[in-house]
Amino acid sequence: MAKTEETGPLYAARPEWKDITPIPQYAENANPIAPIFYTEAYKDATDYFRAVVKAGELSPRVLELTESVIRLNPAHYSAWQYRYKVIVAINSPLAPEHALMNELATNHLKTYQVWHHRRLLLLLAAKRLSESKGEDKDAIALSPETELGFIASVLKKDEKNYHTWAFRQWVLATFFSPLSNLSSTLFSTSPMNEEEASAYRLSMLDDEIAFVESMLHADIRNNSAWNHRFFINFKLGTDVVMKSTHNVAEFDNEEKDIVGRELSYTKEKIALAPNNASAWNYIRGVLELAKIPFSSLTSFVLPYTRSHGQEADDDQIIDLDNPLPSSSSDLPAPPALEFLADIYERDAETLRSAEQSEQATVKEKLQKAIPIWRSLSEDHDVTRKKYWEHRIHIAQITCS
Amino acid sequence: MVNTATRIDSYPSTTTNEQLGTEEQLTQIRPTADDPPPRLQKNAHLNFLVRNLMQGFPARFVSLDASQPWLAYWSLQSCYTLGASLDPNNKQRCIDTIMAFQSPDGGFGGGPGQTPHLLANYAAVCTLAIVGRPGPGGGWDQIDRKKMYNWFLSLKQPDGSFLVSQDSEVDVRGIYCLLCAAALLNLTTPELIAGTAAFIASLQTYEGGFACASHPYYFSKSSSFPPEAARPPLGEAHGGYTFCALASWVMLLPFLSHEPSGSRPSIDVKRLTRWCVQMQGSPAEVGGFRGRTNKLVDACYAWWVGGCFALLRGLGVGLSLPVPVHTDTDVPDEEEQWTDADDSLFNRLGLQEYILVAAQHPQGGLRDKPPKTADAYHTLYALSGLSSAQHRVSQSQEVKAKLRSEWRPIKASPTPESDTISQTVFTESRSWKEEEGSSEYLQGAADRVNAAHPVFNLTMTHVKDIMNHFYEQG
Repeated sequence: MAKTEETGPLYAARPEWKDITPIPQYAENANPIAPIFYTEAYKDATDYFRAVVKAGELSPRVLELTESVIRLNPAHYSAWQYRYKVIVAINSPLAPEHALMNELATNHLKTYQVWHHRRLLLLLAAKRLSESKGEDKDAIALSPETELGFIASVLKKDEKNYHTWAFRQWVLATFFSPLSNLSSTLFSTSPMNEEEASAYRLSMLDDEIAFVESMLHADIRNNSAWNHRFFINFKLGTDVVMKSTHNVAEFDNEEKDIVGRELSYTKEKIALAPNNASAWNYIRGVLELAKIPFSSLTSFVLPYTRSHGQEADDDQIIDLDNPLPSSSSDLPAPPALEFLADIYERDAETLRSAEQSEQATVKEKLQKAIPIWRSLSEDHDVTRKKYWEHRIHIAQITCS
Repeated sequence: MVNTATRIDSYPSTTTNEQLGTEEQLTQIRPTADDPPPRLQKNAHLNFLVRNLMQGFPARFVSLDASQPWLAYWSLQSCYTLGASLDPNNKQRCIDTIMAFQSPDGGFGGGPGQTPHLLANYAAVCTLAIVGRPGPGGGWDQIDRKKMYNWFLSLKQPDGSFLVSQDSEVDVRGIYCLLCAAALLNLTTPELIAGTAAFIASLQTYEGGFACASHPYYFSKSSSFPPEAARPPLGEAHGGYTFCALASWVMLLPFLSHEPSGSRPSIDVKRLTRWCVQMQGSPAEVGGFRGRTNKLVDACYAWWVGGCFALLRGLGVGLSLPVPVHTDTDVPDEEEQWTDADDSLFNRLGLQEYILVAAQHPQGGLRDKPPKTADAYHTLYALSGLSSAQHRVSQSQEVKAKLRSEWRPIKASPTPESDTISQTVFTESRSWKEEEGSSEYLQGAADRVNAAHPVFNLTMTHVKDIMNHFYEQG
């Protein structure tokens, strides 16, 4: 009997599939461009797959067949789709499917479908639980907490996997956001009142901060982790984002605390590695979101714009709010230079829109930015020469 | 030369270890002053492409079985970018292959008998734009446009996005692919694109680039449409998604004026521009582009990010900026003369160097970076990226006005309104033009590749031919 290691005997050799006539991909005389030379096992499984799709068969044996196709080619989206259809149609148990997904996800991290299928399963589990009033013990196995644990284990191995991070954010937004109608409490074994549920959600978010901190501790430059940090602090609908206007003046104390905490945290990380673009992008993002002027960070930024040995006198004073660059860092740091020039340019814009200011003050600010851009274009960041010149030109037009 | 190696601040991490390893690899491959300058090995690449098209792919490429129209599109578009074309027999073979992917329910799938999928559909339509023709057996008139349109609508979500396929994920690549196919085949309607621009806007992250999707809160407690703040992007800013989002935005922009000004979505173009320029690597990375902050350079981003600059010009970024002739003073006098200069915002020659030095595989085909092997995907996007670095393409107001004045109402248009929409899509798409005298080559014009349409990534001629057909112009 013909046999392949991964998927067992060929379907053509299985008596229980005798009733199906396989459909080959192409007619015999076809001469397709850019063909793929398939293995015998793949040809066999997909020929049978085409046949069951055509017949519209939704049955346990089709589950097995789609698994074969997926194992041979996890990017076969039609097989995934059809598999989901079968699961719904025959009310297939979710726990074993989920276990299978854990195995497949680990082996095929970069495939879209492995992550999307998990999403469908979680939503299906939530649906079955809510319909059975929590009695569906099979669905409980797919709790969002378990899911977060699994995702964490995958991210420890592939720290910047795009889909894994995006999937984690989807789980959080779907099951741990007050804006969502679904809640992870659906999966809890004992019922919670609203207050308990809310406290539980907040404790989960603390765990999430701790998780992202462990990822950043492992690699301070992991931009996916920084992005995730932004997501949980500002995008999950729990905190700052609840305000329709993002303006720090209108934040309540708790929200102000989050912004303050994030600024301090990022400054510390910039001090450790001043050339880390991820941290600079993050701090810019926090300032923009809270509408805090860049100039509020002037004292912090200045020491990063100078070479070692050129410290101004007051740099010697220990300022806990503004940690200094580590002594062995590479200075001046181009992201700090860019930031300082932005401070001047934004100050000029603010002055200009305030109207009462004089043109001379606007010019004065811009003329402090121009030499910084020039030093970036000529010395510190020559790749972006054109861009820095562009910034200079815009400033010059404003001045003239 | 200035040492431009990544600054690790004496604080190494996995990111800097990988980064320095890549810079080391790139240093080794970089020619010295004694080596001949790197040239585009057109023949070697064409041989690679012809081999793929004619002989096909070995079994290890089975992962592309659900992407068969992509194999055709990547290979054919690469050939035409290199200035080569196919003979009528092989064109017909391509048409017949692609037509076998059309689903009886409308739209194209990844192979015969596969469910239609927005990504596969784009690749199939683009392939037909390249090799197809009107009339029996030519492909164009055998596309079931009505079914395709209904299939598009069946994928539409309440937040303005689209599933890439039935029961599948939402992904901005799918939206880009849908909008391209709709533009090329004259299928754009207000119903189709309602709310889509707002969805695109929701993908922009704090970094300035765009993520792959956003969370719609489908199960939102409020019955009203979710406010923008409550549609968090899922994933980080990424070159591929940024290109798709920006190109979609450019296609949707002419229709934004229809939306009430209070709820008109917007994107932060300044932050986007900054993000795009930040993606270009240093001289130690031979000027290639990366796709995310703190990730490695990869030739495919030469197009996904390098291609964004032409689209940004479409939004007015850096367009015909007057600059002072004398740059020795910071503030020019009023009377000072202004002149046009190369207003590109990225290092065009730097990017060309990456493609020529790092992306070309010695045995033909192009690749992510050494020591990787060449593949069809990287071959196209490295060549398209080279094209975006060689040529400056922008929308010509002159061409737009001409196309508008010559417009002949489409006989099949059901209403005057739909005719206006067709006219807008047609003139906007067709007015992209290579700016004369703006080409720049690292080594010489012998390395020239054809200009790519910045939205569709087809040659200008192919866009013209297929659009003239479906819009009944020309």
